[in-house]
Amino acid sequence: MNIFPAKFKHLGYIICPSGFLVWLTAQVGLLDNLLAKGTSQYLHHFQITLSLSFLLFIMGLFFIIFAKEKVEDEFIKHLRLESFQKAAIFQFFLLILYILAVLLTNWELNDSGLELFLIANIFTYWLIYILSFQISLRKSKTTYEE
Amino acid sequence: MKNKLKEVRQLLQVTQQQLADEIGVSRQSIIAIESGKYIPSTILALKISKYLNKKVEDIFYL
Repeated sequence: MNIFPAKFKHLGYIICPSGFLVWLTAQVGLLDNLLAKGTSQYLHHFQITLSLSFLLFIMGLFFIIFAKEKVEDEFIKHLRLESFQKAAIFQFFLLILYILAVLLTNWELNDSGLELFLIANIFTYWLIYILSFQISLRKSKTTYEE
Repeated sequence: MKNKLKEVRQLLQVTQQQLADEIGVSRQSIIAIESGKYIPSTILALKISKYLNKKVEDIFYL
């Protein structure tokens, strides 16, 4: 089910990486001067920046994933389904790897580590889906010419 | 399922893009069907054969 018109995909490709970059630069402290570090307003500004940039990142992902192609036919839907399946398999594979790593290397399993891994795992699913779908789409355009 | 879409289409001098536009699919779909990478639905197979003025079994076969 694709709910957005095709032009939303381009919008997604702009706001998704922009949001992620702002979020990352705020996290590593590169925006401290801009957010007036040392003042009473800093924490408030910092939290708003993090929240808004992450929201932009998620909205961008949402637009990329759920925007229609120019011609959204049954073959494109078939490619989408295949990409969803590949992403799901990859996600399971990562989960198994993580559990094996914890078991075999005696990693100390703490709540924040697990939480971070699960969040990364959710986004890995969508990123693999986008990557797989775009590769399949490009392959289908170039593998066989008239 | 195999098909003779490419041969039939070329015989009738119809391009992939023309066929795709007429039946309302992308050119990638025609490419994928012709190369055997994608098996079309019954509706799409019927649309293709109708546009090319052939029986479905003249284009698609097991």
